[in-house]
Amino acid sequence: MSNPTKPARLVGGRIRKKDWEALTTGQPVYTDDIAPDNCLIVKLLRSPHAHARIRSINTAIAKKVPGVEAVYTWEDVPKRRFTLAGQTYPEPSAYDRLILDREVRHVGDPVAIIAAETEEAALKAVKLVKVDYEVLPAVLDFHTAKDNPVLVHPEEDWKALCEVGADNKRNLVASDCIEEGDPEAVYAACAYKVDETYHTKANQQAMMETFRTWCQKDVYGRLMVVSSTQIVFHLRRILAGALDIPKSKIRVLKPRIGGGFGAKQTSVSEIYPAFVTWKTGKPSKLVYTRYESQIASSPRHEMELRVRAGADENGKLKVLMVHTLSNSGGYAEHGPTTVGLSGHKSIPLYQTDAFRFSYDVVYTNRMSSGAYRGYGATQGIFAVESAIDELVKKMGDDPVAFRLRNMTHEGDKMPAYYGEISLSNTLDQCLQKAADMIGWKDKYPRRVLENGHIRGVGLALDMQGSGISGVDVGSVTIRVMDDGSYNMLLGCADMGTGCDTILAQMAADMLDCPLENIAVFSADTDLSPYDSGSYASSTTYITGMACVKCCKELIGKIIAAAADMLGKPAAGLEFDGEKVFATDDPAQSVSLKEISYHAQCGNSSPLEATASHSSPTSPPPFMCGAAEVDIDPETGAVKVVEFDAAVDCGTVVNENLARVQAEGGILQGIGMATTEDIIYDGKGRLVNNSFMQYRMPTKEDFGKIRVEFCPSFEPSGPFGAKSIGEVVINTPSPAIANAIENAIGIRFRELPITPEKILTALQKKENGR
Amino acid sequence: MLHINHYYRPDTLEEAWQLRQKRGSAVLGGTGWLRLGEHTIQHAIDLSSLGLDYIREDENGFLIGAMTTLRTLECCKELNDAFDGGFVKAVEHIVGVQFRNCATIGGSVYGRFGFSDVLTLLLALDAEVHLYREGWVPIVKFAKRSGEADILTEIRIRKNRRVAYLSERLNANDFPACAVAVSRGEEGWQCVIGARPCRAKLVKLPDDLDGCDRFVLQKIAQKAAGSVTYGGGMRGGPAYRQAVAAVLIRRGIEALYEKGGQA
Amino acid sequence: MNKTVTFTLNGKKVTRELPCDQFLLEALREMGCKSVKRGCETSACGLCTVWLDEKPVLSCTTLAVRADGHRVTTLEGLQDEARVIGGYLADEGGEQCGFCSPGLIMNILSMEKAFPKLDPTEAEIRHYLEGNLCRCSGYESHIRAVTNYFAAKRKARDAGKEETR
Repeated sequence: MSNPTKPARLVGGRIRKKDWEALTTGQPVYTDDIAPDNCLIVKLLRSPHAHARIRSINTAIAKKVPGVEAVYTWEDVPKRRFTLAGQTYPEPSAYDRLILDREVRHVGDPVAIIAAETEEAALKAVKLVKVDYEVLPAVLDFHTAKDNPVLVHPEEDWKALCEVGADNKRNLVASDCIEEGDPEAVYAACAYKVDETYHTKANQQAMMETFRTWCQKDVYGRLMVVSSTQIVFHLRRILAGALDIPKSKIRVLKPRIGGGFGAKQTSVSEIYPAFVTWKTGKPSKLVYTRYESQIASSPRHEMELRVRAGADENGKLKVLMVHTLSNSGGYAEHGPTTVGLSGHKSIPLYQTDAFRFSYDVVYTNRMSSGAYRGYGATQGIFAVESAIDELVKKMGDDPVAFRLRNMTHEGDKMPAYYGEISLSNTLDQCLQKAADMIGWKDKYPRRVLENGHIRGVGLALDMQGSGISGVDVGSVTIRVMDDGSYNMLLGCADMGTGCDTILAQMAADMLDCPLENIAVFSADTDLSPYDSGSYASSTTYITGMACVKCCKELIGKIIAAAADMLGKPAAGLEFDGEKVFATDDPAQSVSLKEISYHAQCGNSSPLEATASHSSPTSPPPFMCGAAEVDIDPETGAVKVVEFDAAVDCGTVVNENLARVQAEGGILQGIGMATTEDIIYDGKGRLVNNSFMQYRMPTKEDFGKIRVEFCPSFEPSGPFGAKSIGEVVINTPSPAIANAIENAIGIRFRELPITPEKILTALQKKENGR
Repeated sequence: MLHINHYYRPDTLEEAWQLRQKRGSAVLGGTGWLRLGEHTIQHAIDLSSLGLDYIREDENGFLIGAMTTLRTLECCKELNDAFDGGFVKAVEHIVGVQFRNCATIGGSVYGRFGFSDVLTLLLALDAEVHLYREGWVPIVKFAKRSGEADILTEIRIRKNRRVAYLSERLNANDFPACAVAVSRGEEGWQCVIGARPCRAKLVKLPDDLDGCDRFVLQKIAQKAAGSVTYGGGMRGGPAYRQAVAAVLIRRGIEALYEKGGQA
Repeated sequence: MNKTVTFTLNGKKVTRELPCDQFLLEALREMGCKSVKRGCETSACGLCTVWLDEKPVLSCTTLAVRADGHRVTTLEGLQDEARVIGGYLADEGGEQCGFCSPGLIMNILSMEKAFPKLDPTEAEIRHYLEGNLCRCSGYESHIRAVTNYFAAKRKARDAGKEETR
């Protein structure tokens, strides 16, 4: 697929988001803002136990509460298992869920659905549902999950649709091993070796808008689902399966979304009100509290990664081996897929003679995990980029020089990345730029300030993908309206990222018109063309290319219509955005307006086009992140005083939005590295169950984040673009861990790196002297 | 979930006190924590019509009305000039401006929360608490009690101590993992260790602190920090909190050295 | 129990029967002020920021009955001002998902009283807006937008001075 030949006008600009005014003036554009007043309020009774079997449930008293419409238990729901993971069918995540199950698998797992006319009545009824639990032994430590006699999913109707190495009788969600070359032999022969294990926690996306959905039946008796989701089409399929009704009975719409970051790539809240409305015929609404969003949602997979890296005397990296143990929690959602990125998007950063990537993903009795920005790459890159620095230390090498010497450059093959060739890659420039920005030459490795604080710098490289190769589908429909402006219909999900705007920029450039002439609509399964949804960094690259294709097709149709009107062959006509004219006689022309009116009178072929796109490759965007940390050695207090990043996302489509993607992703990464902890008590209850206890960065928790771009040109991408959404979250954790080691000589291999951990380690080091 | 059956905004303190004698009554402070957990309040008493929002200064000290918000304390120049910016330091990290516009000094003190910055500071300043019926109570005494069916009306602070307030937090506006206020007055040095995470405790420091070198100070601070107990919790284990307390006490003393002189 | 409450909402006097234990956030949303958002329920995020007598407060933990006799302002009552600040945010891409924008803008607007000279430093901006969480932006775009907004305000004020001289 070739790229647009016309020079970009809007692509590359700093353009306001098309929805900015509605958002900043507080218009009612989010799910709960537009819910009907007469919705039944849905509340869930949740399990207090990590693992239990329900002996009996008494709902009689709860049902007597005035205003209570219905109380549903496991006995009332269809007995067909499904997954809540928003993935293309057949989903790699096992079908291991029921709407309500007799066996509960984590604290917070739903036990009963309560629908009432008021919130007060619903909450009262929740308390009056009496459950007799047979408490079962729980698998809380993911190290002991595989082949544990306690099975999280012993049920016979558990089903894996794809060959991912899953086995419910071994608590396995997925398992695999791939390698190239002879990694053990190469490793054995290495002069310098690192063999270390790293641990990352189940961070919460913590988007500001919690999970929420409302439903009603439409005039045709169909189920209309309005939800804060990244995946309208997958949702339609998931709900049809879960409710055991035809897809034709379901319509899913997404209004504005108050943030997603992957959380809303899982159908966390939808099935409950959908079930209520389907059963009662009445509108219903479920808005998760923050507490529910913290304890029963779809956070990042906790992972433990063993990295073995080896280099020769000449400073050549010879081999990388990664083994990942991933904690999927009570259900398999995104378990088999996230783990893949922990190796496939960390190992290919470097050119080696051999590699091995192996993994086990296990069920435990903890909250089910899901998709969180970075999707396994974040965990893998923390481990590998920490290990690389550890190796560099052993060799007495320089972290920048070593990386430049060994990294993947443009044109290199990436065996651990499905053998793809890196066709667009400025990672070397990114590294040099980030090092310059942070002042590497002057600041590496450390400085001691007058107040006794120690400053250290560290950096890390990373990559992500652009969509899922051979799987993701993006589609765009564009219609010519009767004044010559355009209606663009999308099925992707702008969750604040601005994809509605950047796709309009591309369309406006392709169609040679002002941005205002593109009216954007998204997303509604009845009206939008099929799109897998906005996840896996796919929208700019995949749906963007569909947009380019669609515009080309539409221009062909506009010219064909004009050919008809002018009585000239289409081959001699050209479209300049306002009119179609004859190339040999520009005076012979017909305006787009005339063409569009013509299309509405005595016309048999619609003046609209729909194009879909899927890509056999997933070109990685790259980034280098450099951190400077300030440590108070007396208290362990640590602050990232500067974080500098250089990003290769291919062509920057909208500089404002790309920059904010980067700044936002970096700060989430800083939070992951320093403050966002996940602590469970001995009974499997999550302690960080509110924003008081789950500490995300504020404006005062860092000094400065600076972002620059080193654009490459991706030949398979729209206008040369790749993705930006996820690559930006992966470098902070390793860069900060590396900076801390450079500052105080202590390596932290578990996140977050808190003041308490730093002080304890410093005291230990002091006492060891 | 919160249940309030009756809400009153009395016009006199006597009326407020009478209401407070009822079973299941509670005085509303800034209500910042009211949404947490399960509460049933039969009679909620709002003091906001009693004119208790004031900071009055005379030559001896300050009188601060119970309904004065933390934000008012933070913005009061006279108060912060008199106490080395201690009030700014103690409250500036509490959640955010919007929260501090709600939270009241009366609520913070009456609640005697284990994480309280305000209580830690006021203890170090030997403040006194006025209860409508009981009268003036030294805060050190008040801090050890709980649940009086009385109305906290105002706080009195004499201008006879200088203070340094220090705290450590996981991030900028988190609850403190450890909070320390060091003060000195004519009758000597003292420090308060708060957020351990139990209620703040006052510890007397040696009188002859002036002119100690860092090594000696460190020993003194460690001894003071070691004289109280620490709990665990997600914001830090006892060992960490105690180690940080010792550092903050030493730094507090050093800060007061730098400020020099006596109050 | 309910209580009859009369207050001024966005310049208009309103009287409502409100439950004694209802918080202002829920009351305002029921009254149609959908700009007021619930983010955390534990007074930690700042999304629900409204003005009570022109001071920013957290409506999620302020009892609605306490508004009796007071003035309540939400972004619905500050549309022109919101559009101006919104433009500065949008010029930096800083509104992103927009869910925290109303609370943030309410607090930014309150800065004009806290900094009558309209000259907050970057550190002061960071500190004043620290109670407004945002998960999308990384905050830097907010800082740039607020800095630009106040620079424009100062310029307009100084230009006004010139004219009156």
